[in-house]
Amino acid sequence: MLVRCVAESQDRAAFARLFQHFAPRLKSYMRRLGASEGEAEELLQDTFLAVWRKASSFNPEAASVSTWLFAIARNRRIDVLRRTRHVDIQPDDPDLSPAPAPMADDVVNAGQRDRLVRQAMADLPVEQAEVIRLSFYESLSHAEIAEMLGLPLGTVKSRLRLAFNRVRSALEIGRAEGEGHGDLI
Amino acid sequence: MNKQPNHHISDELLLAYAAGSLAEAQSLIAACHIASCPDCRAKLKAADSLGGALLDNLPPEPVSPGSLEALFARLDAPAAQDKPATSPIRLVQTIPGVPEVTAPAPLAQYLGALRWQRLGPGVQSYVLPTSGGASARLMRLAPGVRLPSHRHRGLELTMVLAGGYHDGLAHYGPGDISELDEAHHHQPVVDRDGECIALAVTEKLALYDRFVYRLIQPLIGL
Repeated sequence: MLVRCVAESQDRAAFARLFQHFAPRLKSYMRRLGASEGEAEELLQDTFLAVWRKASSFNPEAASVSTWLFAIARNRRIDVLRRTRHVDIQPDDPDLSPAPAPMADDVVNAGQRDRLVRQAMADLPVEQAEVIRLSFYESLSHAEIAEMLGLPLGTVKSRLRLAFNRVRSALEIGRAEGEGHGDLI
Repeated sequence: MNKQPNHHISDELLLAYAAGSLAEAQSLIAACHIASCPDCRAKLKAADSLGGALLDNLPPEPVSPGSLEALFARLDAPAAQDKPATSPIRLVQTIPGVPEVTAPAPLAQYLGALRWQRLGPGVQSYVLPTSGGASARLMRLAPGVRLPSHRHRGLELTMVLAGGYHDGLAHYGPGDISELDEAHHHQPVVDRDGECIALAVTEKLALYDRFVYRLIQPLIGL
């Protein structure tokens, strides 16, 4: 587990492997969000410095490495490029109001969740996948997506809702299968 | 806020929050609701996974050859030379002037300079320091106060932190969020049994139905 090696023994070889795998994808993400070549490189530095420092707070039960990196990069890019802030929240922060029962997603581990989400994304109708991609990878507001695609705002929103519901029901099905295997606490 | 909220942020807003396309004030109120709502936290994990899954599918773009070496050099440099790392938010504060009300964690860092400003009988407000295309303010409303009927040019988000109000359609209590677009007129009426503390985020100035409020609007900035 690369992130754990970074956290526990400041393992630079593990850090380098994380960088080699994720930096080119993160750079692609930054460029799509409008960063220049130089800005994207600077954001990569920022993001991986944060990865180095926050490695010990990474919880593999809660998120996969790509989900964790996505969240760090998203926050850095808003801080730097938009000169504003994203008010961050860690869904698993124990200080937050406790759930009365296990949260639906908690019984599916992070690796399973990502696999289920990826599969659900691949199965989405093209027009639903498109609004999700534009939202996450062009960081367009819903009004901007509507204008770009020549659609009413309500259509963009309902496509986003439908896509998100499909992804979440894929997770629910994954959860039900998990229960069958006695994964429920 | 031990009770689970009844009124949640929409899926669209939650996705926009996860994608990072909200203005600071909007991401603040979304984070405040999510912090007090286990259901929305579970949804946020699904939305963040979407971001991670999309990241894996992006075509890699070549990184400058010296990038990793430059990074190692920065790891070796004393930490003081770097920008301070943002620490995880763990502050728990109460609303200034209303010590019995706990601020949601994401809000705690915005309350340092809070000064209540009186806008009218039973209505006080404080504009939070946020940047971007939306503004956030805390409202402190006396029991039974009836706000002027209005609608908004953009999205209006209101989250109750303490007490409650009824807007003619539904009742909102602690943790509840109302998400209104410009089609909605509403006239919040505060519960009679206590004051109401709420966080309100608007994209544009409200359109008041009564001319007199439009006259004073430049003075109160609402």
